[in-house]
Amino acid sequence: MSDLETSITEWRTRLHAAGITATATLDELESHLRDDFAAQIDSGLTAEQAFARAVENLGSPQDLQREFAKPVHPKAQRGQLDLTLLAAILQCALTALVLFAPDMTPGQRLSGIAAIGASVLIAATLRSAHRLLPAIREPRHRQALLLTLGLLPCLTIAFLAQHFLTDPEISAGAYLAQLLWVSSPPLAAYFGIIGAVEAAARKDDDAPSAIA
Amino acid sequence: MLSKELVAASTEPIVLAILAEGESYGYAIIQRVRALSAEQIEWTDGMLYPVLHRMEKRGLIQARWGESETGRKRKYYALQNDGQKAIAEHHRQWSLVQSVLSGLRKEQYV
Repeated sequence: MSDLETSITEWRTRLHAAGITATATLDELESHLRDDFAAQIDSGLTAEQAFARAVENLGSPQDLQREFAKPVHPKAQRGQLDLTLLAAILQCALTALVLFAPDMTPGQRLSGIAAIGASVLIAATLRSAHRLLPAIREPRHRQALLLTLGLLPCLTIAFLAQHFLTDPEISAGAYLAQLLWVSSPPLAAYFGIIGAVEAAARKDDDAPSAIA
Repeated sequence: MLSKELVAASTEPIVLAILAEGESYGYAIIQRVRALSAEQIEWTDGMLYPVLHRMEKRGLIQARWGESETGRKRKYYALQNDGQKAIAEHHRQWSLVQSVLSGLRKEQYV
């Protein structure tokens, strides 16, 4: 019945205008609408009445949009550790350490700051790649992935430390600078990836309108 | 009619319990609730979907696109392990409330 199809298209446009723009969501609501329409016809209503009733039963587009926009977790549960904040605090602490540690030459301080700076850049870049990552919904899968990936920074740091932190005569200042170069970038890369994986999982596969 | 708060609080445990019976889709879930409650519980149909979506994001249920009897696209939801755990927790909380209320009622008739 092409009247039905026209009506449904108009109805979809109304929902879209109200802010429900994700195609998957519209498809799901349309599927419901059609089921309800069929049931209303079965109970004796005319096509017009049946459609109007089915649309009414779904609720107003504005109310729906408001519901879809609500966050996934109630406020009480959203106190998850903000890794980004933690990382920022860590970076500040390290920077302070490098700036104020005694017995460091200016060159060594600069080297230390550069290592921290490079790490921040690496972490930020990887973190912003979350749009390229698939959403791994199952928390357990994410945990397994991140534990496994955690081996990489450990191995990298161990390898680099073995090769570059071998001079027993090295001064404390030089050691600190080199230690920062050996450990910060791999850790920053790892935490950047964690952040990206978590962000990708939170991303809504119903794209624009839906839940925060 | 149930109070809004009660409807809101009972939505998730009811949906989870229905899905514990087997995979289902939005429209069927709503019909089941109407039947089970002899029409006393009437959700606004569309409002079920944001709830389903949030439950899916929390890993309690999983969705897949399938086909209806007429070959139309339809989204089916299935209970996950975390959903099973949530059912147990809901049951614990509702039983607690129920036993407190029952206990108080008994006292009033002594």
